[in-house]
Amino acid sequence: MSLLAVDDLQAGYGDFKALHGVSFAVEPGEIVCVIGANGAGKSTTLKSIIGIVRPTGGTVIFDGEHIEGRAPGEVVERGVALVPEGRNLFAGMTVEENLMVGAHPKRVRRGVARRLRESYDRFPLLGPLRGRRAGSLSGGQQQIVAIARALMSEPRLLLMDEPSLGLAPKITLEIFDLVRAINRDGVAVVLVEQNVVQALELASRAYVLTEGKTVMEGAAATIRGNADVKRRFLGEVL
Amino acid sequence: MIALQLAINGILLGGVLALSALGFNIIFGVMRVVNLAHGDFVVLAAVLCAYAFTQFGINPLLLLPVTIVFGFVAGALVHRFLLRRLPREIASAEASSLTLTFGLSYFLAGGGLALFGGSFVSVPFLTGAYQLGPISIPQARLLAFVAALVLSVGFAILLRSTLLGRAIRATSQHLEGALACGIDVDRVRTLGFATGTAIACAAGTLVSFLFNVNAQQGVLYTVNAFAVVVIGGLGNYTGAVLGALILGLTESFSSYLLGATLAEAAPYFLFILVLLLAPAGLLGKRAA
Repeated sequence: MSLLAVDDLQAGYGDFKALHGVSFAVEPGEIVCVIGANGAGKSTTLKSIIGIVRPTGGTVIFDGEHIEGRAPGEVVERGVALVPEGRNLFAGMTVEENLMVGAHPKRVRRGVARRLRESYDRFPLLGPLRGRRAGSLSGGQQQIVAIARALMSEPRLLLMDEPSLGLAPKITLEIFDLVRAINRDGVAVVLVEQNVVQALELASRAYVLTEGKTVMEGAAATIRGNADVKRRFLGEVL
Repeated sequence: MIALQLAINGILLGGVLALSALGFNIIFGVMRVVNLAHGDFVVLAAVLCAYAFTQFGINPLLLLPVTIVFGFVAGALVHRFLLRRLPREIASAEASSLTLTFGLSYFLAGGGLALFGGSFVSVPFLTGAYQLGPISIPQARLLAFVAALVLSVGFAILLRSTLLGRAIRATSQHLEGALACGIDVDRVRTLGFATGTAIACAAGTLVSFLFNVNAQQGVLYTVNAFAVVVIGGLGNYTGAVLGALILGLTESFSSYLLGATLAEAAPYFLFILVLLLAPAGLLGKRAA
């Protein structure tokens, strides 16, 4: 059984409909990459899964249970976490406070001190920064805080929205290494990325969205070799 | 010497202004609602305390826990049954919450008038003053200042060190970030509105033995809180303390130099000055 099964998902903002039928699945422990042009509905898909955007149709099944239309609190409680596009940190709070807010779900409220320690072990960079205001950090540091914050809820599925956005190439590689390490610990990942080449190297399978619909799916290597994908997302001249 | 006396008066006044503004700021932070009924809760609590003192001789300080609980419950009900019912995700969401709190302000002022009448009341409590050489420190003002300080620090500690406090601050700083962390934002808003109203009522309790009040005066206290928060930078708690001291000093000096009537214009004057020179407030961040 798939860990996450999204079927014919539809959602929008007011009168504007952004998703017209997104379908994809994530197996336990795998990395799935979602690619598509700006405005194809990648972020809206992730927000609809976590419950920030309320879907208007379709189903989202996580671990055998329907979660479409549920509040983010319930979805996070079940084991889904989101690293939002643009990081969405609490800029005026310290790094440690940001992490503590990440441990908001009831399931993980006990033992926050231990989880903080584990977080500083996993991300050694954060220890010395724990008392700093999150807003004063560099982009790469902020991205790591956002990832660490999401992991505080001990998710089984991590949704990552453009984690490399605005970062230097070297930092992007570090972030991708982190994604690989997190996945190795058994966390399934849905990765939405502009860095299509690198994301496809990381992922086992990939889906292509166009205008709010899933139009292609396959093994990451197959998608990588697809002529249409090469032309549209990889800028390769054939 | 008179300047020192005025400065002390202004700073002592600033304590209560800062407390009131803290409540206003929390509500603005979690909801992006400018609560136009804020001052009405302040004067309602003050009038209640004055009534309890004159009728039953109850010390207003003893009423602090009562008014805080009253404010918390009243605020939670107002949010749960009025503000939460406003449609969200529409362009006029802010306008409709303004209209609602404006109406609530009239409702509270009218209700207070019907229940307690329109005459000014006050609590003749600690009317003496400490003499330090030529400087006199009115006991009531000193007590109100100390109480405001203790309450502000207490609420600030709660905001820092409790789960709800962190959720309130997180929701204020980044709504989608808070949602992504699984925070029940509706619940946080109800509790945030309740906390803000509880603080307004605590400030009103202190006001009861500082000034003559009647239930119609809410607007004055709303404007004071709004001015303090705008001077310091909306949502900025440290800035609000600075704003409260500036407003307290301005009111103190202007009422001596220009008379009490003109001094009432002080918050408006500061308002305009700050908006012209530093639109984001003294400690506010510039809009990106």
